Amino acid sequence: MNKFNSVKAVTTFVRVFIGALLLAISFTSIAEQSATINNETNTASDTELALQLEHLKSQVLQLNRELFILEEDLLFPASTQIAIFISVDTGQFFAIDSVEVKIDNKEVAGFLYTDRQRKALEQGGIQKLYLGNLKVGEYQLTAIFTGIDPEGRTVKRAASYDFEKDDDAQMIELKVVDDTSTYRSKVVVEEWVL
Amino acid sequence: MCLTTTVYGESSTEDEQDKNKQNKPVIKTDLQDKYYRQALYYYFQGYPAQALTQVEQSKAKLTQLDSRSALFEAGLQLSAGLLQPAKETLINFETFLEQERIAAEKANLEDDNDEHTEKHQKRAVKAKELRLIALLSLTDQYLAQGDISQAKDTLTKITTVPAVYYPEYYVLNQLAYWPEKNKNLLAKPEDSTNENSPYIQLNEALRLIELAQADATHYDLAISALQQIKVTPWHEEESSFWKTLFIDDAKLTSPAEKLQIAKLQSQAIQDYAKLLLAQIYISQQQYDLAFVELKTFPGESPYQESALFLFAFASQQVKQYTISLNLLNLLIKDYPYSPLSWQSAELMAAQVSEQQSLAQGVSAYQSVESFFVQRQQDLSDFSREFNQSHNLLTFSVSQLSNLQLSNEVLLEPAMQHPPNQEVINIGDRVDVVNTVEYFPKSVWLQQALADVELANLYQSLIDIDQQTANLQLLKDKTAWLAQIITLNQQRKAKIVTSKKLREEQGTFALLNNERDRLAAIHAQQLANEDKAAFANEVEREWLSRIENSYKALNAIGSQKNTEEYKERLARVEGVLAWQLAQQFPQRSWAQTKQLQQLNKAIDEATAKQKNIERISNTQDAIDLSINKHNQSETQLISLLSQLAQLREQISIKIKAKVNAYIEEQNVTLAEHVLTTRQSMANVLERMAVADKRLSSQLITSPEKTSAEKDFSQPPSTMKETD
Repeated sequence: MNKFNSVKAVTTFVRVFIGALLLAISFTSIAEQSATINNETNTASDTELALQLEHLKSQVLQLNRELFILEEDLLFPASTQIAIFISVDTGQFFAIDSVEVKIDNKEVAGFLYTDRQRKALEQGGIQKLYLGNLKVGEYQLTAIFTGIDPEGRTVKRAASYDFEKDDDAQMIELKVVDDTSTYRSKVVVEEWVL
Repeated sequence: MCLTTTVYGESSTEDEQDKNKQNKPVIKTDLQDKYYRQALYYYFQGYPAQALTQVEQSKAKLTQLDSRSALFEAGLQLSAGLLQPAKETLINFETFLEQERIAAEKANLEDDNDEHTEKHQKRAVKAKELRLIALLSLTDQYLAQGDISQAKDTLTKITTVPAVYYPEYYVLNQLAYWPEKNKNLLAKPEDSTNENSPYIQLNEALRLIELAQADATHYDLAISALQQIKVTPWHEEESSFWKTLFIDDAKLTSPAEKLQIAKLQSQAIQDYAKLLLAQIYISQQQYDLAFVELKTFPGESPYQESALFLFAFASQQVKQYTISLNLLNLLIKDYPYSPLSWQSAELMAAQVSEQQSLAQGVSAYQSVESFFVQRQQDLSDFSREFNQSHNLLTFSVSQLSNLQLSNEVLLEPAMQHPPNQEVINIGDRVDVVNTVEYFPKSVWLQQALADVELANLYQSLIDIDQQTANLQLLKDKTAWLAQIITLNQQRKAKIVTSKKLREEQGTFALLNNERDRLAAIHAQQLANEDKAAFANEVEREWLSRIENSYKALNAIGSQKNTEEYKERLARVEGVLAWQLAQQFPQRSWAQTKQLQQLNKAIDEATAKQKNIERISNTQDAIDLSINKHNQSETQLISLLSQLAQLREQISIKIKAKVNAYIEEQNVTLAEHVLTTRQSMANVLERMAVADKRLSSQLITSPEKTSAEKDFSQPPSTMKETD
């Protein structure tokens, strides 16, 4: 934060007063009273404009939401939809670096994490890694996580999961969980029950 | 449905898992929590706009958000400037919590345990605190917008305040009810430890200064408060996640940055207190005290300009002329567009005229006059250029990169996905949180922007441009969705055609008939235990040869002795029959299995056929998508037009405000020019008087040198003191 911002921070909580007092040393501002009256009128009008803008912003957000739903309905209908999520539980024994996901040995998603993304996961965030389509049937999902252990060594953790895709949307969460009994992390697969 | 799970490092067999599955009841996933955490993933990366979009999408999918997600949404809406929806959520929050409590009690009765209520109670306690934080933040934003009535109204929604939030609550009350005191202010909690918040004290001192204009006794109280503030070290409290979300401006900064911010804020508070103190001393004409106060004012303070001016003025009053002259010259040089600098110019010229020679005074006044004329010219140029500009945001931009940042911010999260990844939600890129500020090169405009209302209007303009950019993205998306709908329609048409063809050819009926025929034959063969029916190709050949041999033997009849042949044939037939009997169970089972597979294949084909029938009958779904798409397109066009209109209105308002500012500055400059000219005339008059006196002295006395000496001396009142 620069100087300007620190002033802003102070003046946010304190009435700005100094300017008027300083000017009073050599000038008496005649226009001040009328300016105050004008300001009150302006504020009312400004508030109206701010409300209009706020309303439009809400509408843009709503439109975006509707288009998202339409897009998902068209591209990933529930009957074929599969989504894969990634989460990290504390990340004490494993600092996630990358993940690779395969379905029936075919690579469907891969991700390299930045520090910020890793921290967001460690703070409780869930990442939607993959959204795709699968026909009804049986499949095998394989996930390989690469990361750093507390000693700074590169380690890998993997999981394989057999599942059957039916007519409902399939949501699978891959959780990197710390196991305090073994001082290691492991990958736990959770299928969301909708 | 889960079949098997193999987790490396974990030992679990399929049998165990199946057993576990049978024993455990199916518990539905807490989707509220999962969606909330997806939004958190964006928030923790510093993308509140994406987080808000995610929450909105979750809301659409889940129909209603739980209290925690609703509060998170309110916080994100506040940071996006969507005050009204945030306020609605917060006001209705008690009802919301009550609904959740009833739902939890109902769930308890169904499950026969207290888990749900306990969970709810824990959440409710936290939620009340969060609601308070959100209401405080909302009040703050209304105050920043100058909407005092909304700020007061929001404050009335607060019914209890824990000690930790009391200083913030108190300050917001001070600002909302300024200069009065809020009579309905909640009582200070008993465990309040932070009652000496510098902001409360500063505001209190300011209030006393205002009151002192009517009753001078208030000055003493103000001085005492300010003296306390300027020596009190101030430390910022630790911010929790929720406090950061709702209140703090500087989000997700590093610890080092936070420390620096805290130091700067602490310094700024102390500097402000010093400045106010000096101001009071000057208004009480205690210039020596003001001089002492400002002597140690830090050079790197954000209040440097005001402090310089006060210090120069105080120095002049305590006859520290060298200091005051230097300071006044510094102000003129460093802040040529500031009204304080203009006052300084006049003070400087007055000091030169009084302290040095009248001739030097005239020269100083001439410089000052030309300085003011130059400013008038600058102001006129600025006015012309400003009024000619069509897009106010491109006028005199000094931080172009900052404005361009908006697009980078919009695209950044999406670009982080690797190209092979399919998670490309265009919706994720829509940014409603404004991260950009307009900072002009023009000093006039920079000064005009000190007016909060004008700054807010400029911010609105940036918001509108950002929303327009968002809508352009959505427009691209609708075009893309139109293509998808067309492709879906084509795909559906193909499906319907091939279905019709299959129906015409009676493919399914033929297949079913054939299956029924085969099943009947197989059943007959099994019932008759017709082992020969299951013979393989070689065996069939053998059976055929045996049959032919029998026929040949029958034809020969008694013409020849065929007993030996018949015996051999019977032996071969016996061996073959034994072999067929041996293979019968296996072969009959294999054929039954094949028949089952055929049945399964036909069932699958039937299911597909039904699916196809369903798809071919889903004209409604496609029509619905088309309708939604058309509605979206119409809405898009309408929104773009409304935004354009609003932009126009705001631009007009900004121009009016800036022109009013220009007019104000023009009046001030004209006053300065006038007073400068009047002062210069006075000096010239004094020079004329002095000249006249000199002439008369020259006539009456030849002692010319002494008169010249007098002329160059400054008046006794302006002699510098040590």
